[in-house]
Amino acid sequence: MLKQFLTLSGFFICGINAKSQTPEPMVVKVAYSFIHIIDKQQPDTLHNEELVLRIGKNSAVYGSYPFSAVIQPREEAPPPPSGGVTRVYTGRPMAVVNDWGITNWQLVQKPAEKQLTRYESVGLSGYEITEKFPVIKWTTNTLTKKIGEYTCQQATGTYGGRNYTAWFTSDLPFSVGPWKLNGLPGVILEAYDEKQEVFFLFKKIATAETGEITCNESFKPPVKVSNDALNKAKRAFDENPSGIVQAQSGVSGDVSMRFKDRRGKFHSGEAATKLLAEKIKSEKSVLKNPLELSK
Amino acid sequence: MRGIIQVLILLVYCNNLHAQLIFSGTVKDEKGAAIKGANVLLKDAKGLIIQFSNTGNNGYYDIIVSKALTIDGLLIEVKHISYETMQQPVEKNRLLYDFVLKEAVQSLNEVTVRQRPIVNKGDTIRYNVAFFAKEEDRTIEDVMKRMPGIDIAEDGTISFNGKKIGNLYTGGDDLMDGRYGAATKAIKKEMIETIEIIQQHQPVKVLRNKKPTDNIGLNLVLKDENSWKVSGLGMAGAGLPGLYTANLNAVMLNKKVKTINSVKANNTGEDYRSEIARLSLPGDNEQPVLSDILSSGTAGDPDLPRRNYYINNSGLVNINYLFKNKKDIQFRTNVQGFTDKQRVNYYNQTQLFTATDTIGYFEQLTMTRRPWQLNGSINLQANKEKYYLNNRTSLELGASGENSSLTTQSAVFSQQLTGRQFALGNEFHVIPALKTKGIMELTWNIHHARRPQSLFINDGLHVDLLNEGMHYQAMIQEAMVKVLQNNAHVSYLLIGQKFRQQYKLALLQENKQLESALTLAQNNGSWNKYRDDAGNNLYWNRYRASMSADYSWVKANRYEVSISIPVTLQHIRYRQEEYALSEKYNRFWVNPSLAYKKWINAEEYFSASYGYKNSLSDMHSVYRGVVLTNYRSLQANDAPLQEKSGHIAGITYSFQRTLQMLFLNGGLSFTSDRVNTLLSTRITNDIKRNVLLAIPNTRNSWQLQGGGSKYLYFLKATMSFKTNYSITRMQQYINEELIPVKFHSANGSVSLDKKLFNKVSLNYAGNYSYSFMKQQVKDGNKNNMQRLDQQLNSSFTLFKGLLFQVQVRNIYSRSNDGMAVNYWFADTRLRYPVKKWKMDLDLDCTNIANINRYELLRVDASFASMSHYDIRGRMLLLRVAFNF
Repeated sequence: MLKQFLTLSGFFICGINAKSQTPEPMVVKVAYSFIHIIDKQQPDTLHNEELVLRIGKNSAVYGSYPFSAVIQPREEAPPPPSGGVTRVYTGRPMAVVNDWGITNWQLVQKPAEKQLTRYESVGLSGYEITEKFPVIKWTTNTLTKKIGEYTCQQATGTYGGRNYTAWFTSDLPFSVGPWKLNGLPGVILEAYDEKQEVFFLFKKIATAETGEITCNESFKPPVKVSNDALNKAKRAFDENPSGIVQAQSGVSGDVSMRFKDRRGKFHSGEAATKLLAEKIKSEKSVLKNPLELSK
Repeated sequence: MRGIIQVLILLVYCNNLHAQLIFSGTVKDEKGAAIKGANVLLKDAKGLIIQFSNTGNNGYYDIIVSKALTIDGLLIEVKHISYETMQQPVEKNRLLYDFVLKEAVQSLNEVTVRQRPIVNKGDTIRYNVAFFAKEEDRTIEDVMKRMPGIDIAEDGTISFNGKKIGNLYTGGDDLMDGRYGAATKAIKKEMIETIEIIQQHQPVKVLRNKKPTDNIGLNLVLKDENSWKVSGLGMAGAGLPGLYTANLNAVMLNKKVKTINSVKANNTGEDYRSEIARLSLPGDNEQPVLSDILSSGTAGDPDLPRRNYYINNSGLVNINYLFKNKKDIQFRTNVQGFTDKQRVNYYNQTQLFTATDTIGYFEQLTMTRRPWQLNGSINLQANKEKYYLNNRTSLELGASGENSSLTTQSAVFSQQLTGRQFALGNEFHVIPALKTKGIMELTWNIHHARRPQSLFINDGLHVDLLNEGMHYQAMIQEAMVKVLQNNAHVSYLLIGQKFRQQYKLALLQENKQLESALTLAQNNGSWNKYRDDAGNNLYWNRYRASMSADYSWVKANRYEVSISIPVTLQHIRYRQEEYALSEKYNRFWVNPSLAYKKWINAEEYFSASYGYKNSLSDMHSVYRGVVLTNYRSLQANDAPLQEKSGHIAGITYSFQRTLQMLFLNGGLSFTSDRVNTLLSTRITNDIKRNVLLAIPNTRNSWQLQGGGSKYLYFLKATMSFKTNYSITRMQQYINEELIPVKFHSANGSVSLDKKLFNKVSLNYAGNYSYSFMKQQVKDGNKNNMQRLDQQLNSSFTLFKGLLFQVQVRNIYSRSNDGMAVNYWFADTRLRYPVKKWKMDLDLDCTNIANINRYELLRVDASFASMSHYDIRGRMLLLRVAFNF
């Protein structure tokens, strides 16, 4: 059990946190520049990140796993040799805290099933949160433009208190899009809101390499929790990351903490502690202008 | 009123019907099956989408549009990734449009944006060294310690997320022959570009894409594969009282040649044997074990960290060289040379309890030990697409000399124990590439080893037993064991999705020899052999053929079942002509084992296991002639080979609630061993005489264990505990009495970890153990012992990376007769990196309380002992580490 937990933390480190349980062969993947201007007066409150939508026939996975990475199925690890002794491992994991502008969840859209699931991890544990499947009343317009190789048509719709303009292409016949924007008869390649605060801008697109799948298989099924319970765990983690990881892994002794900033650099020691305190402070201002203004 | 509403609703409804047009239909494939999730588009003449919908589970769709729409030029188009796109023009007065789609191989045009992919099979994690490195870091180990998930233990063992790595590779090659501990401390951070953690590392080319291993490989990717530059690291330190430590490393790493060499010396208690030991061994090689027969004293090592009592003066040379040609043929040689001078000083009081009597011993020993060791190996490897071949030849030479003076309750004398070691071995391993899915492996190992020993005692001890009551001057006990072992196996492994099967045929042939002679120097200066027996010249032959079939089924996160049925045929023959002894054993064994694990849910599992095992003892339990294994123990055997058969069964249950951060586990296990011979001990005031007797006897043991941890939200700290309780019943045969004995032992430990103000960390660990044993006879001896070991660690990070660590440890133990020991140890450490000079300064102060002697209590049903060891007192050491 501990081993699985510890292995899970490897994923946390790479920035692909929890994983969907049901990867499927990928058909195409789209990278977006996600920009969220939280406060126009304060330019440093900018969330700017490359997020990737990996589309399969029945589902699409949206998260921060790098575009260049080709996910292939993990070969089934051989079962332990029979008659083997239980191994006791030494060594300890680390607590890695991401800065607020780093997406550490994956959203899995299943349009045909009308399902939307978020996979997120706190410390070493993976969690599954069932989200409400968005029903967006899209209106298609007569405007078209070319994005990449694709002719896209404009549509407008409202979601989470924001009025979005979306550009979709029916040449990619999947009813998915970045984040929770979906429901058009084609992939949404670009979307932005009326207030010019949220942007999903097309960056690049690629078809699947041999054997490429939409997401990594999970080592162990994530634990189903409610959003409130998860938020409580996240708060506790930010308050004492080392302590939580230590508790989760069951190791004794000091678990050291690393802080990953928005440029991907890791900080340790005093610097990490300082950055964590700053994160907790600045997160409050981020919450003032969230992505979803209303549920 | 109700009627009016109904009419109104009807009106509105009709009105809607008038204003809307509903196109509908079903979408099916050529076999008539409904296609769900297809996009249905209503397009105008310009190809723009006016309205859209998608098909449900039954393949049905509807598109609602305003009736005002002009029908001219409209199209209904159905798109699905698995099918060819189909269109139908909208006709006047037709609302139903059914579609039958043809399957398409690839309906998506190749997208233009491409880039060289980084394939992430089995989750390779790459750490960019530049991201983690800090100015003050010198070695790659310093940087690796900062990388999340990587943990490096004191002895150099690397773990990734709690699991030990299989091996460390430099530029893809295993340079260190598994002794990688020295590599990470010698390689400069500037030489390495990235560190790759390969979760399922498969270094063998023929097995790639075939055998997913469970191994984690750690690869250091070179920054410049063509560099012929030699880089160096050094460390020098000095301290009080009279302490020194130094090491120099020279490293060169490129595509063709890789070499890491180091020279080290210290007298500060640092043990280099971890650099000589192989940290990872390839495969499950069975190597013959030869244990020494003779020893200088009877006390073991104290239960303290090794650097506290290891009083040394050691030197080490470590040379590793690897050459690879373009055809993937690799040559490697590894040589280690080690010398040491150790001082051991202790005294020891032991009481042995028989059913009627208590016998006491006293032993004081002052010893100087001078061992040396030289290990060398040559490895040739061809790692090709068609086959994998590895041959390793190794030679180990060593010797040890122990000069000691001993004081016992009845004599004061000096003794010398000398020993030599010689081992030569060859390991051959081949894996051919097979066209089928299975994997075949063949290994053949030959080992030869010799260990002669000689114990000279400068006094005539045990005159009654050894020299018919006549006084004599000195004695020499000589003993020699040697072995030649041939060991080959062929295995075939087939791994399916859920089902794994392995078949293995193993053959073993072993020749061993044990020689011993006891010679006494009489008062007149003549030497004669011990008269009562003829010493030992034992020949031992063992042949074994075993076949095993192992099966396992795994359904991830549901269950795991594994069954192993090994069938073994063993033939053992041993003879000692001087005692007219010639014995033959033929044994046929089936030793099955079974394990089952069931996941109750994602956070709970239950597991159970059972195994049955047979074994035969080694030649050490059959020699007939007397051997003086130490100055007060005579050993001889008077029994057949010890045969052991036993059952082991256990159940465990694990429970966790991650959100509450609660983890609990518990288990119960039972072991029952039956042996056909019993160790009989004949005790007199001076000597303990061991004889194996043919009395069958059983040993049963129950063990109950539990543990858990919980994160305490209000304290922001983790608390964990472990407990263990066991009962063992067995029989001891002392002075011709068979005494049943019962042991109880309980053990509990608690630990608490807490961080204060983010700069101070605190860790407390406490362990309490209680053992109780009783001889199950009238007025039988009873013993109990309690031990409490508590440790508090704290570290503070002060300004500019100055680290201050304090450790306090208390050991308290007490036995039932009131003997008690209580110790306090305290260590501090100060570390400061001087960035400007690229140096690390390190100031260590250990054993601040300056405790020079340590007492250790040991209690068993038949004995109690108190040992006093000389240990290292207060030490102050300043070290400087630098690049050159």
